[in-house]
Amino acid sequence: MSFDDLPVDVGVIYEGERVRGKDMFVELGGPKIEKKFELALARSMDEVEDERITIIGPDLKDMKEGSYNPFAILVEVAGNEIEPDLEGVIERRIHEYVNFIEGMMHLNQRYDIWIRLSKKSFEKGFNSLEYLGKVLIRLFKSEMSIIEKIQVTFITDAKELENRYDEAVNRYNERDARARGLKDEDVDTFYGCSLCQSFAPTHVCTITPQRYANCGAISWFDGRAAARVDPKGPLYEIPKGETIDDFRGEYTGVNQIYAEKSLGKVKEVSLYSAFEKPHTSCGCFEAIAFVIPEVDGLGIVHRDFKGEAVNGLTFSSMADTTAGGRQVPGFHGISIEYMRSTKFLQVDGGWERIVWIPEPIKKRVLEFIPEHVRDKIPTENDVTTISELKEFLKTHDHPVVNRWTELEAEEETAAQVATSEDGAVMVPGEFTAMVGGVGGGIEIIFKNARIYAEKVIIRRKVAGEKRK
Amino acid sequence: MREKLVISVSGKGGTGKTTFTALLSRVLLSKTKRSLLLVDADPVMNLPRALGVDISKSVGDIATEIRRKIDNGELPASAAKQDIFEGEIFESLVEGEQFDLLAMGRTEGEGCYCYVNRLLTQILDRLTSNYDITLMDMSAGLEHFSRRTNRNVDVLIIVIDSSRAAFEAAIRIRDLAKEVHIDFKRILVIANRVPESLIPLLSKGLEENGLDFIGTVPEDDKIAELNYLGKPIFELPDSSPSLNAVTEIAEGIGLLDEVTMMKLLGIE
Repeated sequence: MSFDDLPVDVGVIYEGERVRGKDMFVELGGPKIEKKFELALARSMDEVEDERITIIGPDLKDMKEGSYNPFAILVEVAGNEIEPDLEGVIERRIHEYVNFIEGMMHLNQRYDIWIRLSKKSFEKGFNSLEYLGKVLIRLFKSEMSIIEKIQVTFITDAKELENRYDEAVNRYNERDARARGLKDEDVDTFYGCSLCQSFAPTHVCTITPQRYANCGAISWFDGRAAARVDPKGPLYEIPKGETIDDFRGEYTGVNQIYAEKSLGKVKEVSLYSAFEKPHTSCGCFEAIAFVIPEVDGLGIVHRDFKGEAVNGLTFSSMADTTAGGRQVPGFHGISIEYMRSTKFLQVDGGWERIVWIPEPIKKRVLEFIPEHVRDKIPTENDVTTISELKEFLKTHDHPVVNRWTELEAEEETAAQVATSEDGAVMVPGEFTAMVGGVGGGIEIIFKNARIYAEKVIIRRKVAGEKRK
Repeated sequence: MREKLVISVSGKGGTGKTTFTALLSRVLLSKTKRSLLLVDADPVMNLPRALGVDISKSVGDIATEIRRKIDNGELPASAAKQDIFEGEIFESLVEGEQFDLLAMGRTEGEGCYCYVNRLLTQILDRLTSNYDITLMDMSAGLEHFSRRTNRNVDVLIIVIDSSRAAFEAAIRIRDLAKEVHIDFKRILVIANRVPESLIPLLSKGLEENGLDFIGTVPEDDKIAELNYLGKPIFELPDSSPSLNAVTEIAEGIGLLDEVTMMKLLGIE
């Protein structure tokens, strides 16, 4: 691809170039102009006249030096494989390609675009948007082979821009709505984040369309953008691999990355469970889903919650149990955004398993809590102790109450085992016990153990009670 | 793109980092034609006033706001935050005739800033690569060092006064710089408002600790006056003793001459 017919250079080396205020010839869009936009549209083949460049309004050479101008870029593409879902990706390339031009700066996106042309490049002869159109068309066609036809329109006329503005904004809104509806099943790449590995060496954050990073800051779209800019950086692609179980969120690709990055410490993960092979937790999570064994449910407590949660423990004391990049069944670091996901802890029962949540968080995610349990989940304003919680759940007929009878039945069988044979308890396979009650922080794992005892007493310590 | 120089000014609080940064800016602007980015990395943000610049928003304000919008789910679902953040930071850049200035400020509020800080590092790296010289007024604390990446050629200037604490801080800063693996091309020490009679002793002490002592800025009543009145350093008369001293220091470092500057950048 050649740009010899252009008055300025085009190339990757100009990416990151900023045109300073005192060096600029004109500004297009930017904070001083109220309305501006860039938009990529998927069209049918007959709607696009290939390589046509249209300029509506004054061209660069008609603009006053040092002026700020209304600006819109419309890139219309067509091709057999072109579909509306690709518009966002294509549109983002405009940013990249404009920045390849010597003396041109492009910042932001959508209705915030901010472009500057340097005096130097203008003086070299870059005095028409025709050139910009040529660059865009050539780069798009050479880098995205699915684009068969492309036409570019620049609008610098305020009135014309105004006419088309709402249509653009509607398009962005539609796209965001689609993005919110994007499912883990729809993509074949997740993103991993190792930003927290300095605190939690075995932690890998798996970021999927339906599972935000634990810190609540990084979406799947952020992951995609970061991995593209810096593929060897702390945010990288995780090829999903084969789906082992899509309900549980188990994928060979995720497991493989875990095994690699945690140096073998963590080998398997169920993305949507707090109990079974849970996703690891760094130290940055926004909230903790914690088990309340007395009611066989999960409570949620967030970082800003002052005071004790319903189990008598504070966020920070539970955070110590949760953090560090381990898989701690029943203590699971999560983001607020994840609570808005339809996959939210679905293996464990999702919202039907949540039995306590602080009021501020409940308010923030209220519309994402299924209606039939919305009023059945108490906050700190409803209950403050486990016994109050039990009572509340019972009187409000919370779905976990159904689990209680099952639980009691299981306990009975367990008791029978204990009295069998010669008094020794055979524990087949692996047996995990949480010692010290909820949040005690010690986990004992017996592997094929044989335990002899005359008498075994295991009792739960109630918060505040002294050891006897 | 060409090699760029990043000069960080550090030292114990109250030793005169900001005044020295302002003086050095003025010298660079009057004696060279190089483009200059000033970064006030001290959350107290004194540098803008010393240069007579108004700041409407700091980077910290923007980061806090981004974090808040993230928490409330107010950002567009399919837009990448790194792009939004970069645009806003560029908007907060104060663009002057002679130099540009970015005030870092501080972030407020809880929540995790790992990701936001990571974006910040990338954005700042990209921004600084657009200027011949970036001059950073650091905070008294040392945490900023660990946040930087060292793509640029760095010079670290540590400002000390006649106190023992300032001297010890200088040694700590040097050690820390090594620990976080920032490959400073040079680490230099400036003595600010140190009595003439103390210089030989101070110089010896620095030498014994392997620190490169590059010059002294004398007490200057005129600066005290400007400070009190809240007036910028540009009102200082050309003949001021402090300005002369900083000119000499800049020359000593090699900032004022094309040949020595190339050498400093490692371009032979």
